[in-house]
Amino acid sequence: MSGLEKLGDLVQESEDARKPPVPSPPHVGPFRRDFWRSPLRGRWLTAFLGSTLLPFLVIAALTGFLSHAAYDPRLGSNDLTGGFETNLYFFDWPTSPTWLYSLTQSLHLIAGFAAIPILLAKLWSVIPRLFERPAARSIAHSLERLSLLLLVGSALFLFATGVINVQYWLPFGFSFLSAHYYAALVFVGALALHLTLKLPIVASTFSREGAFRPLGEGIERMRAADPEVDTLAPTAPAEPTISRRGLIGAVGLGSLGLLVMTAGQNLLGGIREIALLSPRGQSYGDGPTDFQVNKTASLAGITEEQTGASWRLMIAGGPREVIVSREELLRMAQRTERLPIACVEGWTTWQTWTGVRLGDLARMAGIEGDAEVLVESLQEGGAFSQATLNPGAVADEQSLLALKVNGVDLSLDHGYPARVIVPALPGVHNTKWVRKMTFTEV
Amino acid sequence: MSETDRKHGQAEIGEGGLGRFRYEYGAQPLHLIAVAVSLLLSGYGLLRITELPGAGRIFLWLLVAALLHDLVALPLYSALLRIAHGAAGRAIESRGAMLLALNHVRIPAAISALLLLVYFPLILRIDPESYEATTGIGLDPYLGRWLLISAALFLGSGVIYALRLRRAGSESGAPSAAAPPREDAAPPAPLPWRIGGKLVLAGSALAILWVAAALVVGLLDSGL
Repeated sequence: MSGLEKLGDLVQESEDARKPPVPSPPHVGPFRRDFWRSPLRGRWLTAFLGSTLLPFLVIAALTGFLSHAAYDPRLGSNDLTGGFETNLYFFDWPTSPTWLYSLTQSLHLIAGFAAIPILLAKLWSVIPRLFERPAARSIAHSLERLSLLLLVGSALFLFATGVINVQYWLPFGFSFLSAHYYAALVFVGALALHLTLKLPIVASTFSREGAFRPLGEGIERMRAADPEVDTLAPTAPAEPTISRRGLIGAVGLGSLGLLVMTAGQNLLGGIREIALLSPRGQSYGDGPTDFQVNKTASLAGITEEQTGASWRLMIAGGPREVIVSREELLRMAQRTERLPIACVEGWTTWQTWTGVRLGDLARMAGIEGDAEVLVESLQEGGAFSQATLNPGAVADEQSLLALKVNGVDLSLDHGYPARVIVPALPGVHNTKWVRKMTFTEV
Repeated sequence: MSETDRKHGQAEIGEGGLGRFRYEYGAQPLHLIAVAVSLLLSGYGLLRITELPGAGRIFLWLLVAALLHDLVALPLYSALLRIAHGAAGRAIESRGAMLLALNHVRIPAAISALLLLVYFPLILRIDPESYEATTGIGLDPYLGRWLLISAALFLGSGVIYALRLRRAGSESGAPSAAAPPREDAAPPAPLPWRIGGKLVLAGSALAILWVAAALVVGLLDSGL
């Protein structure tokens, strides 16, 4: 007996348990089992769609929590969620390889978007269960259904808020970031139970019907599953209008389309333009500062006066406070690095930045050892008008306070007079319109 | 409770404490442990949500998301599929030919609808001010691009449909030794224009008009 089968025996709900006195819904409409007629429904279809969905969900969940870690929530006021579990993110986010955050976050979006059609098909395949009778067979059954409500509700919530948020439509009336994060905890909890209860059924279904064998059946050879043994199968099946593999193929095609769109906004050069419908697939033009703007200066309330000749950078935290002008920064040793801006919204743009090393600025303020730094923007208010960078990010030789991009001065939208650019750092932590840097030795 | 049910229940209780638990609860203790672990983690997430600003709205969204899908979206698209099926059935008598036509329309339509479902805030320009203020560029291209992609999907599907019709036609017309019958090949489908000729022609003309209109609007709109 395999491990999964043993688990199945231990967690399987028993159908002969005492029935709690819950009034059952009437035997009409969708509550009748013969209301659901599609001959495609059955354990194999649900098991196959579920197994296909699972890797996408695992990737999206893992990269989601990694993204949370990439914000270094233990430092300064980086954390925007406020839970005790912030302390579980025990490691400093690395700066190498430079494309690390671009990879993890584009995977988050790709897996999330590509999962949408699979999730919709999976929900379609199990919809009769929503109306099953009796509504609650036992305490165990009621608890399972409660958990399923959490699972479906949080899954649809995560997809809906994520998809809408990256398109800059913000109708929520709540903070996207913390709501998406905590809904993910609800989802992971409910998914863990779902997998414990259902993986044994998936395994037995695949060993009985073959994991891939029904894919070989066209519409002529395909038969509805036996409703006596398969509780998802229809009792009065209609004639099929598409084969199971046809449905799966259509779902896969939709999934592939969304994958291409989402992946496209992270690619270089002309390939990017395949992301035809993605919010960051548009070209800004051919100039040296014509690349994706995360947040415009006007939205951040930045004015020409603040960034003009009177602008000074304050460097604090060392034995002496230093105040420098842009000209003085330009006279320091300049470094040029090709680094990505990788946004939490799942898009990337690689540019060539020129500026002063963060490490040089720390030494200028008299800091010799390892230090973290609080970077503050001219922008007032807003969750990301400041960010605290970990000591590794400060010390990395590629970490810059950039003054120029692609050989010309930064444009106002890209952070003129000076912005931070650190390898593998989430985009919004590369603070624009920097006003003050406060180093703290650790 | 029927006679057999009672007997069954007593047999369960007879197994001792574990049987009794299983009878009252409905599963083995491990089930309860798994449920408890899961609900504790989910419960922590829910508890944290109650402490966020706008918690009421978050819970509303969580609930509405599930209800909207299960009780509105799914019945709606099922009804659309049923209408399409009915219309195709009236237009084309031969079931094989009807299904071929139906699937070559509804699959590109479903993918087009999926793209609209995912990207509707951009395509339908729900909040152009917010998008432009954030990114510094406008939402102009998206409607045209979606129409173009949809047109391409229908066009591609139409081309494959035509090729399959030709293959079905040549197979049924000349069952020669040149084309050995495949094991899982469809029984040769009678050509649809022999049966619902006028309706198919009208439908095809509409589809072609739609594709052409989408192409023109799309081209004009995306400024290509």
